[in-house]
Amino acid sequence: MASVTPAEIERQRRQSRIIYGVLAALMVLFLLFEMKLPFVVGPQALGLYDAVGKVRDDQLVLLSVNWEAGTVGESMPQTEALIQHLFLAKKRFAIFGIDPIGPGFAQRIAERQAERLGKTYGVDWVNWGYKPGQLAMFLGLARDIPGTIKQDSIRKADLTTLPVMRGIKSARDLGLILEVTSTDSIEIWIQYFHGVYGTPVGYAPTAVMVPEAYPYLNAKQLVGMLAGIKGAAEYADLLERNWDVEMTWEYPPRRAMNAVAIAHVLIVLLIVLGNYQYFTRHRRRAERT
Amino acid sequence: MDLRLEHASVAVLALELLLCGLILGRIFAARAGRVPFIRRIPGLAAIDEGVGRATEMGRPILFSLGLGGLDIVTLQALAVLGHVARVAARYASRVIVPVRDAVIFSVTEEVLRDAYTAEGKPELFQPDDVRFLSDRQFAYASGVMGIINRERTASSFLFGTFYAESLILAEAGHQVGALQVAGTPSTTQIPFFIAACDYTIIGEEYYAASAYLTQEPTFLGSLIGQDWSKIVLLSILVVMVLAATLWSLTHGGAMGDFEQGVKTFWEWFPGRAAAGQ
Amino acid sequence: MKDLVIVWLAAIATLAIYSILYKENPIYRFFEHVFIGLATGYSIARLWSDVLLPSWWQPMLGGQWYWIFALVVGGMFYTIYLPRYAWMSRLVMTVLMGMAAGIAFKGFATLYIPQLAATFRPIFSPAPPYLLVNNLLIIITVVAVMTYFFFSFEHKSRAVRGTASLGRWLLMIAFGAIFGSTVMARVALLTYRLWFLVHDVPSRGIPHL
Repeated sequence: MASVTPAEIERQRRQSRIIYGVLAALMVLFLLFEMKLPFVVGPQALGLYDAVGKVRDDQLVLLSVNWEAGTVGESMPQTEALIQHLFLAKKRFAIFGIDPIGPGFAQRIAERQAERLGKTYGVDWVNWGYKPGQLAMFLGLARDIPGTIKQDSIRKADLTTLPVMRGIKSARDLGLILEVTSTDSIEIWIQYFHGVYGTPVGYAPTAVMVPEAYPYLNAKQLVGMLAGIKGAAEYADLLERNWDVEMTWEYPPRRAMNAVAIAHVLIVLLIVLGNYQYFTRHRRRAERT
Repeated sequence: MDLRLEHASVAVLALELLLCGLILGRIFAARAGRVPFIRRIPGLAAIDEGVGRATEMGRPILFSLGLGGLDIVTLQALAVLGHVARVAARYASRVIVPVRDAVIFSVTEEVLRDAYTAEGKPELFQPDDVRFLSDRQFAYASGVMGIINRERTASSFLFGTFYAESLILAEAGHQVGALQVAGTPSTTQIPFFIAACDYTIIGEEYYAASAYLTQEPTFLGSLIGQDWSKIVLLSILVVMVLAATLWSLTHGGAMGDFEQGVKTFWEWFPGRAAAGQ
Repeated sequence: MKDLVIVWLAAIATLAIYSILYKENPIYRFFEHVFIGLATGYSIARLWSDVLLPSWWQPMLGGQWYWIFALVVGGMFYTIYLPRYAWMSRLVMTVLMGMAAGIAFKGFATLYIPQLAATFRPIFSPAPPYLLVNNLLIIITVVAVMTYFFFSFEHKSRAVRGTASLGRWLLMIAFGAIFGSTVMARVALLTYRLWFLVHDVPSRGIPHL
């Protein structure tokens, strides 16, 4: 523990404000001006991209969106990238969430992209809405999707009457589960869908959850991963390279990644400076005594 | 390895039965009086140090149970709280417990009241020291920060499930000069506690802490049973790594058939066709 | 006009929340409470429209009268606040806990057995060196970290002490990686709000721009 005087607290607060100011200024600069910084697409993003392409026409993609306003900065570009790809590749998909707010965000993104790409709700995609993330619900969903979800969240129509849900009964009819989340909900999909039915699972977590996902990637329980905003930027790069259609973004991930990169440079510099100060101060104290 | 386990295969069933048997066996042995040895866990001695510090300074202790509901992690945190409260009661120190869940609130009151009663000081228990703040993450964090700053807590114990508010709580304690001991199985928050707290109990030590402090036979037996399970799994790992190495050396590095064999072994149950057929 | 109001409200709320960086103030507290209230209210509305209405209310009124028992069982949870009837809440909780414990066996198998099997890798092999280094790192890390978490004996012998110490170092490296990832996540979230302030507010918040 440290005994900290009010004067020291005030000095620390002053220093903090200067750091916040410099950080914000640099990031705004990199956001305002588009720069093509060196960029490499990792194998995890590529794996996810290929997995979407392998989904058959008689299968449905489940886009599970479990994020809310607090993680919009990472989860929204990830969702936007995935939805654009699903529309362009003509893969039918269902939006679903165990968080009340996520499906609403995804629906807004899907409607905006659908208008641009000429897609129709109920034919190209459906929104199953929100269901509480209880084990019993997941087990029911795996066995009987229309019986568990019952109706879509937008039109309140019986799922079985929608063209997009034609032939979709259980987890065996899902070609891919894409989990965009800020929580650890991925384990449920791996345990009770991939582990039991072999459904491929892709993961788009916020950066916080990324290190914990590597054991699943290593064991091939995940087909791929978008690691936070970097993953979204990689996916955007793949879309722009492989499709002759202009991509639109409410929040462009490549430009965001530039701002994140400069923030990281500043943080690393400050850490090095701070540690240098810490160790030289200790050495000076030791020399004095 | 892409395994398909729609039903319990023979290998999985055997392994799970073995692990359950080991754990249950050690629990029954502990309950029958064969209390097992548990090594000293660094960081737990700091709990007594923290209570002592609060007594000397005449300032209260703060104990946060985190953001979990009525689950295993919070139940373990409550066991640690029980120990802290008993030690605090012995030295007539106050323990303030802010809670986030309404169900946990009633359980926490009971734990605290029982602890003070067990030490023969029921009159020292103040119901107002158990405070329901909010079930929203950052509202809870703000409330705890407020308590730490206003009460100038001498020691701060952060045990349970934490998320992004972990560093906020730890920093608030640091600013008032509190001795901070944190314990959480939330891997993503451990780095922040290590950076900001004096002692951090990480990973499985968290579950060992409640066994170590309460000396409850079921907890102790379960912990030792898990140790034996780890030995079993490590042994399987070592044997199979050696087998994989031997295979690779004798088959020119081609591991396809080896992996297929492992997959078949783990997936097989009577009546099931071999994997890949 | 609606878009204008939404963008400006969002901008004011963003700046109000960020004012905490300067110091705590009533404007921050007000918007924090608004946020909490909105999130809670929206969740309750969605719970009704997406869950209770289609899965319980409509089937119950549509002839499946037995769904009323779901209300009874759900109500039993609330008896925890009535000491005389609290035993009812323990009934439903233990049924749920028992169900979760039973299903956990399946979950353990499908989650961890594949990971165990994925660790069966050769450490000497005609494979490329980088693959062998990878394999060796994984195996050493698993063994060392598991050794660190043995509690039934003292880490007295040099071999065990050394392995446990290595396990602790490897854990710290992993925590460093998690720390870095978390910093990246926080910075990414800040980036979005700055984008909103410097791009969305001028383009959507100011008419004719």
